[in-house]
Amino acid sequence: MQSNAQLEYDYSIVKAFTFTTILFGIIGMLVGVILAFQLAFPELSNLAGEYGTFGRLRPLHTNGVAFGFTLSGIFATWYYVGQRVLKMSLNESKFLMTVAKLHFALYFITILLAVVTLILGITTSKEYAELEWPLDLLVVVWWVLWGVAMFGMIGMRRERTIYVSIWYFMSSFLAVAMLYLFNNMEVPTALVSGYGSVMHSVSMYAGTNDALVQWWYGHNAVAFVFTTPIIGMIYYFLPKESGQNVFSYKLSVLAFWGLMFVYLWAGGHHLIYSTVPDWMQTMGSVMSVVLILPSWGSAINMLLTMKGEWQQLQTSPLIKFMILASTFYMLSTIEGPIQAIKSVNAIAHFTDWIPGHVHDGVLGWVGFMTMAALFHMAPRIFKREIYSKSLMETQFWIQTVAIVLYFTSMWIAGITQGMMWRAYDEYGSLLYSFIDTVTVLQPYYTIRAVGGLLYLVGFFMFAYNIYKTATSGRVLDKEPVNASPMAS
Amino acid sequence: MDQETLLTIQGYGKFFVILFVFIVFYSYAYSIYKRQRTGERDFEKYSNLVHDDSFDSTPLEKRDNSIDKND
Repeated sequence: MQSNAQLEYDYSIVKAFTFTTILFGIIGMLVGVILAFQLAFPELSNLAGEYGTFGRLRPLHTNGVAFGFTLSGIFATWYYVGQRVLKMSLNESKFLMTVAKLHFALYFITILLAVVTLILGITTSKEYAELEWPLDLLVVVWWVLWGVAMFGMIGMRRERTIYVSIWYFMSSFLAVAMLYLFNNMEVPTALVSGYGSVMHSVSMYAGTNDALVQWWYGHNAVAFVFTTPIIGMIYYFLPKESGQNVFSYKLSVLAFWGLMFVYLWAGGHHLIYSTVPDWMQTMGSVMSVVLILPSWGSAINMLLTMKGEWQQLQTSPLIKFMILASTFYMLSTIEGPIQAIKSVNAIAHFTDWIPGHVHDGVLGWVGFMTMAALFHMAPRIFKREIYSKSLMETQFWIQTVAIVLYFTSMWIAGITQGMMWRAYDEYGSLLYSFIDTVTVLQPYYTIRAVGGLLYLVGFFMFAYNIYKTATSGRVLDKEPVNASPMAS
Repeated sequence: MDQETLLTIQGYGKFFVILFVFIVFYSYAYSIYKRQRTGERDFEKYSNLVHDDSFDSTPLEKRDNSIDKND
């Protein structure tokens, strides 16, 4: 092994993924805001011909924020946390460095191609799996490259014990690999029949089986993109930023295995009251409720990590972001199981309560934690002080208000919608037509759009703060140990 | 099978599934806490992996090939 004296951690890949986190965050969230305004004011759907319609933009939003913004954040933090807790540097291996660079390059190209193809309407029409088969193949290549980099780094580690954050990243890699392969089994029609577009494919599964595989994938994409790697992040960044030990390392291990055991069975709750076997719906429902245990195990563990140090919540906006992220994780992981209970699902299914639930999770938990992680990493990877603490504070409050506006409006809208759809008179006839519900919901759609816009404004402040940190923050002479330095 | 019987079976099914998961979960929790209490393994020290993560710091448990072979 080489001498450690001249070696240090290499953050070039971290910086590259930090850039794409911000870039795809802006694209994905901007499209989300446009969609929200289109729902409130439908005439906005006609501004850009076929390219501006809801059907074209919606997959662009979901793919942009999930596979653009979130995955970039996950990769950036992986290459940062991975090197640090394994005590190995990418500089030590030319091979791993090349793999990591290739991982980034192919990932970036794929997501750019995803933006283009989705805008052009090239889609498999499977939710969160819209990318067509050539892009799927590309995804497989860079996912494998990530795996090679990950296990290569683990193989080269100096630290014998693998910290719990790494377990979460590993689970994300393994589970998504399996889920993505199975759900994207598709037949390119032109290659088989000689007719039609080369880009077009059909799923290998039909009918109910397709639905089952789709939601086994769909829900676990939430699990292993929006949950496990984000938990991996918070288990590193919160103790590090606050200088506190994890409240209970044992609980973190227990919660990990609990989550692994339970999460993969919960996808059936997306198909309650549909044509899949009843026992499968029941299992999805039960497993969703059991899921509260490991989810809250991690969330409470994070909150208790701050025991005795709660004053940091007042002084550090970074701690605020992380604690609120953990709190929103608790909220959405109690809300999800409630929605998965069959009787509640009868009202909630297909209503706006569902995007409400998704967004208190992604805006509050995934968004806040990813931005907090990038804020923490910025002074270490750019070796500069964070540009503005007050900007960060303002961003925090704007985005917190934004999330509250988003989910409260969607709760009210969703439950109103669900109740109106079910309402019938003494003769058993439905009381309302679909357009009656739309009229009632319009004000809530407007509130949601305003909430989304505020979150986007906050995200621009975040992007500006990181940009200024990288370019004109005060240069640090040594790496900060815990609390990230920030100029007022 | 009539609807009522089906619902009854579903109800019992739900109960036993929850019970099973409950037992597995808490047995695992107990085993972890027992190992900590008896001193077989100190899990809490691994929190330090986060604090002591600079490149030149000494590993908490240095990786050693002979140890790896025993794993």
